[in-house]
Amino acid sequence: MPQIELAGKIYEVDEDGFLQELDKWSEEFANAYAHAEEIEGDLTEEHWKVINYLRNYFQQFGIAPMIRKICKDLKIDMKKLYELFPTGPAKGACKLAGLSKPTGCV
Amino acid sequence: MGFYIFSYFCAFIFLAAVACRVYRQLTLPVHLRWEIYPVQHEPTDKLVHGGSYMEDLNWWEKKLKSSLFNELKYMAPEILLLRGLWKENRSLWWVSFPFHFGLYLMIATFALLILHALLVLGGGEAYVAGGVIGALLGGLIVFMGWTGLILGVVGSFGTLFRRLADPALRAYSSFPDYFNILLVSFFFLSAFIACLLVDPLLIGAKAYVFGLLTGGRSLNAYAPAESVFGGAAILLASALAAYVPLTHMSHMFMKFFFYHKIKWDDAPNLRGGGIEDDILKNLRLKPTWNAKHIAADGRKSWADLASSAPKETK
Amino acid sequence: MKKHLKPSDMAMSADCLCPIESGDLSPLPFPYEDFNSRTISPLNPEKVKNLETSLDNTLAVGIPKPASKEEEEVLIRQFLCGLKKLFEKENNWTFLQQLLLSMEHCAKCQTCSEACPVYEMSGKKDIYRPMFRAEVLRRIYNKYLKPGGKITARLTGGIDLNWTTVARLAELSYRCTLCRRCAMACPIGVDNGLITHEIRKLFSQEMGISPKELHEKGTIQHLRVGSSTGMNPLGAKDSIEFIQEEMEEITGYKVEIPWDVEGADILLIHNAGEIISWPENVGAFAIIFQAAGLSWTLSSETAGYDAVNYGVWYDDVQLSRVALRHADIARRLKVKKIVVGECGHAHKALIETADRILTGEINIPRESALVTLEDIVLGGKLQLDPRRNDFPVTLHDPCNYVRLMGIVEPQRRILRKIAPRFREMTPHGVDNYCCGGGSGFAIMSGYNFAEWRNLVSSRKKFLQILNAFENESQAAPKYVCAPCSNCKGAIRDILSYYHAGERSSLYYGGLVELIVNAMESMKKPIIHFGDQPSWT
Repeated sequence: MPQIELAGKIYEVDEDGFLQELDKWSEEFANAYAHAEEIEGDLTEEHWKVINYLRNYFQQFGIAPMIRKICKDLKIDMKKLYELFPTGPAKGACKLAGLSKPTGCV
Repeated sequence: MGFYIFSYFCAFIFLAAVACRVYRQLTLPVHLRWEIYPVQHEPTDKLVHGGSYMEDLNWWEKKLKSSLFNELKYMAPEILLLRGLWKENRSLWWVSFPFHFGLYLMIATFALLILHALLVLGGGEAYVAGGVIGALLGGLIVFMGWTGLILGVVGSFGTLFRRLADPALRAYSSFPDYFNILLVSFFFLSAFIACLLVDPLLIGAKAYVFGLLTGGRSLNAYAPAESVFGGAAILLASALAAYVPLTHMSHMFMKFFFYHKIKWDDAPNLRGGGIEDDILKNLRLKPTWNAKHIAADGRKSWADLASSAPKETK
Repeated sequence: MKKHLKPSDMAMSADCLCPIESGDLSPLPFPYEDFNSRTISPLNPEKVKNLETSLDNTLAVGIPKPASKEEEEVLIRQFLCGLKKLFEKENNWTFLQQLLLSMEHCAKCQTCSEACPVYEMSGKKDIYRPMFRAEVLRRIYNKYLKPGGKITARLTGGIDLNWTTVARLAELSYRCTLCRRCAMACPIGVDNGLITHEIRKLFSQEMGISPKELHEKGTIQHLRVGSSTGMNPLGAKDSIEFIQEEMEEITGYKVEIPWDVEGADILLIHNAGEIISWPENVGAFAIIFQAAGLSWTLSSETAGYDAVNYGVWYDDVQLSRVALRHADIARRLKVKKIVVGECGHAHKALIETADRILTGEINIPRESALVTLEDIVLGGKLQLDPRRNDFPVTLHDPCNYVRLMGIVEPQRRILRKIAPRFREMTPHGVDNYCCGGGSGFAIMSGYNFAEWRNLVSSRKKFLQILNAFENESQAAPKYVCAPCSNCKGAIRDILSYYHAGERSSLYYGGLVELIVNAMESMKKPIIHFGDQPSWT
């Protein structure tokens, strides 16, 4: 199992860098990972809003929400979402939120 | 007499080997469906596009239709002319077709020789002395025999040549593959030479088959084994009959199971039907697969395992 | 002359037995020539340092190398033990007859190779020949498990059994999409796809070796939480509620999606991937069924909202477990029949393969959604205006229900009625080519496997799609109709990998979207090409 070291801590990730277990996540993980996902500077309140929303949704339903649903629920548009997470909501945002890679026929 | 004993021995092996192969197929448990379309016994309106009864709304409420005519219409050219090979791999067909058709004609000639021997036994002198049937049968034997031998020689040596000349075929061929083709080639060649040199009317063949049926009684003064090539042809033909069902060449008749038991086996499992009984029997079998998620212990049946959830949570 | 790899070379020591190099792959036409020199990116040595990577340029399973000689021997023994079980009635009644026939009658004529898109597109790499892996298995079986096999192997061309051979064989069983074109082409009827399937089963059922997308994240997760996507019943309900709202916004048509209606005529099961990735498909089904006045329901039971059954690709026990779960949910809901949505392998698993697992009262009638839809569309239950679908459409034939189940015409009769510019691919119907994502490939993307898929196994399909639209301008939007979630995933990846959206204006989607797009009661189109609505 590949591992990644961020801010002095070791995390188990899959080969694409997705965290394996949701509860191993910490805020430092997200902060330390931001740069790798092409986010410049520190994570802002808007970033955290998305990250926390994703984590809550995932905890409750076992999946990441549909992108259109993220936009609707958080009242932001697709363009803004890509500005916040340049590598895309499915990749960048989910990775920072500690969600595992989507599986199944998706 | 030695020739006859060898032939009887080979015939015994042939019958035993064919019986074993067929018996095993018939006693295998019913398996999961694995058909492939077009399924040739579908009625014409489905068959034209390769469709199945599963294209119909609520198909289980209707009577399933199947067409023996369509099936035979497909099978005849497939068996006789190797239509599949013609369609999918034509360059090989040019050698494989004469090879196979030569063998078919040999089998047909053999059947005619048996018929001839039976007529002689039944009709006695009257038949031998002549008559339309005798002349027709004699002519047919000569025609089929010669055609078969010529096709066989061309086809078997052609096949051998292809296997050696085509690097892709050669890379995947091993000793038995060459041995098998050589055995067939030598049979064709020796029989061809025997006919050419000493027995153009297949009189020796008639005599030998008559002898086979009568425990060695001679039909006439000539014995085919008098010529080296005639003797070789008898030995090789007998050996082939015994050998073919022991090898992958048994596909000549095992093809029946490929088609009818797998590719075209679309029989649905209906409640209370015979297939259901067979499935219930299978579900009582106890597997011993070792992977953790299976959780087999040799006591649990397929039914137990299928209705349990895997413990492994990873 | 090219040197051919032989089955015995599987035991050969080499860092990479059969690399694909730049320029090897079959050429692509304009405007995709720039991809002709493209090859698979090298595996990251850090990430694969403990894995067996010596087959080709990619990894599907990723098997760890044994740590010691002892461990290696244990693994080889396990392999042989599993191989023996494949030939036992108790362990493999499910496929024993198919396996025995195919193992014993191959004439090695290579007719199958020409039928295989992976072999053809790879630049004819020997290891991808359909008979190659079958021959490896055959030789191992003959040498190690048949009486006197070690002696006859000297004549028949044996193969050395070491860990590399075994691990390569496991990987190689995931370079075939099980499309079974080879079995159709074989003049005898030998099924090398089946042998691939049996090799996968041996590794899964005996040794617990399988791609994690199929097993751990696939069937195991499916049975545990309800879906291979990880979606739990609450997630399904929440998502579908959202789709319901969205449908009204998109089309202006209000739809109610029924849940757990006892005694409904139809239990509709979708591939749950549709809910996440192609919500319009789920919405379109609901619109059509509602407009046609059908009595139907979805199920929110664990696994009742996800029709997938990855077991059909690699493990008979997992296949049975999932099929039984589906059928039992239908029994408890007291529906008249199960209708399987646009998902090819779910069709094959539940309607056909599992037919001889389900007995008695759980043998609930099962039907393809294409058949149900044909009855609706051709039976005049909807008001349709085909002019709304005034764009070029071609149809992809999912192997699982076309070649393998004979469901060929219903989808065509629908398209002829609703898509005036429909044209076929060449070849099509039962002779079709796989999307390249078959047998689980579409959902497998670890390491660089997705690249292998896009470049090699999906290449033939990409060429076919381009061919179908040869006479259209690059700029005109075109629709590839792929009524199968797995195929849609593969086609989505092809289009994006080759930038075919930008370069050839290619779009893709299912069949129900086209039907809804032509419905007169829609105020707005459901199909969009980028930001552009398909009609106004």
